[in-house]
Parts: sequence; C-alpha cells; structure tokens
Amino acid sequence: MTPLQHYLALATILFFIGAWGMMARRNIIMVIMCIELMLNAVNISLVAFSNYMPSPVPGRGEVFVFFVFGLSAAEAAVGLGIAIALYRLRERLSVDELDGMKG
Amino acid sequence: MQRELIAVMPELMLVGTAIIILLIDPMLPATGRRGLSWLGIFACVTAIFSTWFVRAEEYSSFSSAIAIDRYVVFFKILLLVVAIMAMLLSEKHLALRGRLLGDYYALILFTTTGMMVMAASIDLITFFVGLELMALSTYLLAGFFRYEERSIEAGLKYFVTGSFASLFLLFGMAWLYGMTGSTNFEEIGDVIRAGAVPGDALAIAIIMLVAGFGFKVAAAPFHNWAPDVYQGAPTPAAAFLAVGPKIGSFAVLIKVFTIMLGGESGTWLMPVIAMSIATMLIGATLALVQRDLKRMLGYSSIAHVGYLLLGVVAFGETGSSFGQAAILFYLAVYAFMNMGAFGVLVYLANRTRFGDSLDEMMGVGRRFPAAAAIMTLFMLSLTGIPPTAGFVAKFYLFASVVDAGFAWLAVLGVLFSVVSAFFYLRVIVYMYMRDPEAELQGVPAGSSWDLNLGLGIATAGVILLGILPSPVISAAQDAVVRVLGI
Amino acid sequence: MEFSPIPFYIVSALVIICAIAMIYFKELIYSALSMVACFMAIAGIYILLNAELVAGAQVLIYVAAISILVIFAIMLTRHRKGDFWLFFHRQSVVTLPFVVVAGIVLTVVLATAAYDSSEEALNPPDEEMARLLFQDYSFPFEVLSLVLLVAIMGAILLAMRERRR
Repeated sequence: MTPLQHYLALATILFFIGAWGMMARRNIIMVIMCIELMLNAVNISLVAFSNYMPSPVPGRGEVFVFFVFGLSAAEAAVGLGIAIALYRLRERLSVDELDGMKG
Repeated sequence: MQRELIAVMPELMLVGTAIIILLIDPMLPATGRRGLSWLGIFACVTAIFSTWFVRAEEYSSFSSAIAIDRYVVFFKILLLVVAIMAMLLSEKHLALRGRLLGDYYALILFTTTGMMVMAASIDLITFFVGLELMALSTYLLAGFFRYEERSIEAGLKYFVTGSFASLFLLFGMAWLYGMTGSTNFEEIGDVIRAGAVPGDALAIAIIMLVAGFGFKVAAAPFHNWAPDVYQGAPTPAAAFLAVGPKIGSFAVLIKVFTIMLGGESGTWLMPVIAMSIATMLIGATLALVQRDLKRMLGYSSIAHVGYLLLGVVAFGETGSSFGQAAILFYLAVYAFMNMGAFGVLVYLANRTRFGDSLDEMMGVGRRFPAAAAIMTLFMLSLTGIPPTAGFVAKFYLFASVVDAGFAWLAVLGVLFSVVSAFFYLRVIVYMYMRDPEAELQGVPAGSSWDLNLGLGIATAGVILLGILPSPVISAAQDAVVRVLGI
Repeated sequence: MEFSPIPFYIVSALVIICAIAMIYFKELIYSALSMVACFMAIAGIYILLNAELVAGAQVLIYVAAISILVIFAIMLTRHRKGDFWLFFHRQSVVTLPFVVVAGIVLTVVLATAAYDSSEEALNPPDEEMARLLFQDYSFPFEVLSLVLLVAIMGAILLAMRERRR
C-alpha cells in the first residue's frame, strides 16, 4: 500500500503550486482558480489522514472535506461575483490595476 | 434537545430575523426600509437577553460542536452590542448613498452569527464553518457600495487576503486533525500534551495557524490589506469590519492557543512576540503619515492588534488568566472607542460633503461642537489617556505583560503608545486650532437620531468603562476561568 | 487491502502536471480546462484512498459546479487572454523564491515526519459517513447552509443588473 507520506507530499506540493500561481498570476479569475486548487490540496491531506491515522471515530477527515466542498463553492460564487461587479465598473480585470488607494 | 435549542437561541434569533428581513425587503417601498434596521436591532437585543439567560450554565452541546460558558456569554454579548452599534451607525449613510437595502442588515446579522459560532466553537469544523460565515459576509459588506469603485476594490482585496488566511488556517487545522485523529479542541490538546505527534510537523502546523490568525486580525507582516479595506468600504461597514472580525478571531485564538496548543507555547511564543513588535511598529509609524482619516484609523487598528498580541504573549508565557482577561477587557474597550471614532466620520460624511481627509477636520470644532467633543474623547481613549477607558485597558494589558516577565515588551508598548499619541492628538488640533480655508459644503437632510444614539452608546461605553471598569473586568476574569480550567 | 503503488504515481503525476499547466497557460479558458482535468484526477486520488463518496462529491462539486462557475465568469468578462507575468512581475520576483523554498522545505518536513499511521485503510463505509455528517456534525452542517445562503445573496447583490434608482 502507498505510504501516507506520499499522499502528504502530493498535497503539500499542490498547495504550493497554488500559492505560486496566486503570486505569479494576477488575473482575478486565475487567483480564484488557484484558491480552489489550494483547497483541493488540503482536501487530499484530510482524506489521506482520515484513511491512514487511527482515530476513535474514523472518517472525521472525510466529513471535514465535505465542509470544505461547501465552503469552496460559496467562496467561488462570492469571489467571481465581486470580480464581475468590478469588471462591470472597470472593463478590465487585473489585480495589479487595483491601485486606487495608496499610502 | 431543549438545552441544545437554548444554547443556540441567540443565533436562531439573528438568523430568523435576517431571513425575515431578506423576505420582506423587496416588498417594501424605498422609504419603508427605514424600519428594517430596528428589526435587526430588536433581534440583537432579544439575543442579548437570551444569552444573559444562560450565563450561569456550562455545558457542551450538539455532540461537542459548541460549548456554553461564561467566556462564550461574554463574547456573544460584546458582539451583539457591536452589531447594534453598527446598525445604528449605518442607516442614514446608506439612505444618503442610495443603497438602503435590507441585505446590509442581513449581512451584519449573518456576520454576527458567524462570529458567535466561532466564539462558542470547541471543534475545528465548527470553528471553520463559523469563520467562513463571518468572512464571506464581511467581504460583501466591504463591497456593498457596488457602484463605487473603491468599495468593490475593498471587497476584492478583502476576499483575496481573507481566502488566503482561511487557506493557511485550514492547512494548519488539517495537520492538527491528521496527527491527532480528532477535531475536538480538548482531545487534540490531550494528544499533543501526551507528546504523541511528530514535533516538526506540529511546529509547521502551528506556524500556519499563527500566520492564518495573523492575516485575519491584520497583524504585521500580514497587515497590508487592512487600511485599503477600511478606506474603501462604506464608512459604517468599515467601523464594523475593524471591530467585529477582530473580536471573533481573538475569541477563537485564545481558545486555540490555550486549550489546544497551551503545552506548545515554546513553539509559538517567539513568532507571536516578533509579530506583536512588528505590528505595533508598523501601525504606529505608518499612521503618522496618513492624511486620510479612515486609513489612519486602519493603521491605528493595526497598532491596537499589536497591543492585543502582547496579551497573547503574556498568557502564553505564564499560563495564567491575567493576560486573557486583559485581552477580553481590551477588546470590549476597543469596540466602543473604534466604533465611536468611525461613527464620527459617518456623522461628518452625512452632514457635509466630507471626504475623510484630515484637512477637512479643520474648523469642525466650531461647526459641530458635539461631534468634535466626542471625537476628542475617542482620540484620547485610543491614545490611552486617563480617565478614558483606553487608559484602563492599556494599563491592565501592560500590567499583565509585566506580570509575565516581559517588562521590556511593556516598555515598547508604552513607547509606541507615545508615538501614536502624535497622530491621535493631531486630529484634535486640526478640529479646534486650525481654521479652514473653505467651509465644508453642508447636506441639509443629513441628521438622524439613530446615528446619534449609536454615538451615544459608544461615548457612554468609553466613559463608563473608564471610570467604572471593575464590573467588566471581573466579568472578563470570570469568563476566562473555564478556558484555563481545561 | 493491498494496492499496487503504481496507480498512485500515475494519478498524482497527472494531478501535478495539470496543476502546473493551469498556471502556465496564457489563455484563461485553457487554464480552466486544465483545472477541470486536475480536479478529475484528484477524484481518482480519493478512490485510491478508499473514499468513493468524496470522489463522487468531488466530481459533482468541483468538476461540475465550480468549473462551470469559473467558465461562466470567464465568458461574462470576455477576458480571454490571461496576463502572463510569471517571471517579470514586480511582486513575484520577490515572493517566488520564497514560495519555492518554503514549498520544498515544508514538503520535505511534512512528508518525512514519522506519523503513527496504520497499515490498513481506515476510511469508513458510507453509512458511517452519513451518521457523522447528520449526527455528530449536525450543527456545523446547519451553519454551512447559512454560508451557502450568504453566497447566493452575495452573488445576487453584486452581480444582478438592477434598475438604478
């Protein structure tokens, strides 16, 4: 059986690929996609822990993942809503151009 | 079953009222929406009573998802008072900007519900869901004036940084769950104290949690978003955002760092000390150069987070209740004085074509003597000058830091308070001692008595907590006993 | 239960390649499609982890719902070209090395720690999941419904075209 550590390595690598994308790509929709990717990375680690680590109540990690599912859907809806509202105001979409406030 | 319903009665009241507001809002004519804020305030008042009703009880409920004890009661009442003030401050401002919608009050009620769930949670999943309920509602509050670019920008910045913070917290929580096999704070704490988890991985999980909380409360180096968001958000919403989420986050932070990670304070103490010094430094110095009052209050709130983190250092070092009680009292005082300071800005923005800049404060002392007087009070309190509440709160907090053996940190805190006196007192100087080059244009229909009532509550809070702090201090001390008892 | 480790390596290579592709594509719509592929591969990881229910939900929520939301947003904003400043961006120049180093260090530390793991698959059957979700965690489940309500409300509040005043 694949050891737990391999799944955790996959989860951590994926988390940092997402973080890298968030830093490197400044398009708002891209940033939201990277957030979803990082949430998926955490989900992999939760399911892996749930499958491998002995616990008095098995399966809690899987239940946690269901909550993350719901929250990431909500987050995507709100984030994309804000992006569209801003686009309507601005007709352009890059985070870098958000420099109306300085100081 | 009955006990469980009683445990969540305040939340049920807020959520029920929020849904009623959402349902009747579209049926009302534009002028009829004025009553909606009173519906929300009524819900908060009844929620305070139903919280007060269970103040002496201690039990966990819903299969250990939440707990009811004095700590939770303290935070719930504080959060509900903040919500009431936020709704009182908002109505006229929204009406003048043409965005008087029931959704705003529903969002405030949902945010408050989320924060109350966070404060009551003793389980990682409950905490996380409450956090997200709070966070999503606050992003929307920041972006509520969707036809104003600054507001939407604030919403977007808040969304991106807030999601990042949630991700860090979630990452830390996933590892805490994974290594201990439990989501319950106490069970996790027991496993960690037994030393059954790999130390390196635990340290990384703790650092992730510290970073996530740092983002949420706007501690340096994760503070960048705060001034932008407070500047761009609608002013009454900014008042709420600068206070509410911080109270909610600190409510959980104290629980997490005592119940769960109390035995690991060696790992998180140094990062928190560094963070609190950096936060005080950045808050106090960058506020000096701000000409926009909302940005200045944003940096000032960062400085106050730095002081609050000193309290975290105090209880992390000693494990005694002194530091926690000091944080609780400081949060209560901070809520009144910060809401009040933002409230005066709302007042000026309603009465004149006020653009939040420091220069426009010139001559306010003559034109709006009452507003200038209470602004003076709030500025003195934010500085920490007796006999205001800010002095008592800072004194109590620094005393707890000295008690923990960190006298040098307390000296640093006092030093930064002296620096911050400069920009707080500058506002007073501008209001009373400078003559304006041009009069601010007046808005005829700008006065409203509910805003005045909200400012009155904040003023009363700052004065009463300044001269009669002992009931609230003893409530704070009672509140933290159970958290420590575990 | 004895699994060969080979499927895990194939699927996880697929996950990582799709994730990097998502970041590298200049065209936003290609990024979205590689995101879909990545989420699909992650569903495969869940099956290997003995969590079929999670895998199904992953397909329904991420591959279907969230991806469609993202693609709709891309079409609504008609902004088909993503900006591509991977190595020239003023912030990424500073943060990128930090992220890479932190990522490597964390991966090594977290993936080599001695976890007290068991030899057999422990993820419970679906009946147990239902019991956990609707009994032990019924309270956060109810709060989650509020989160979704706020999200619906927020989407309407921000994106609905309304008659202005």
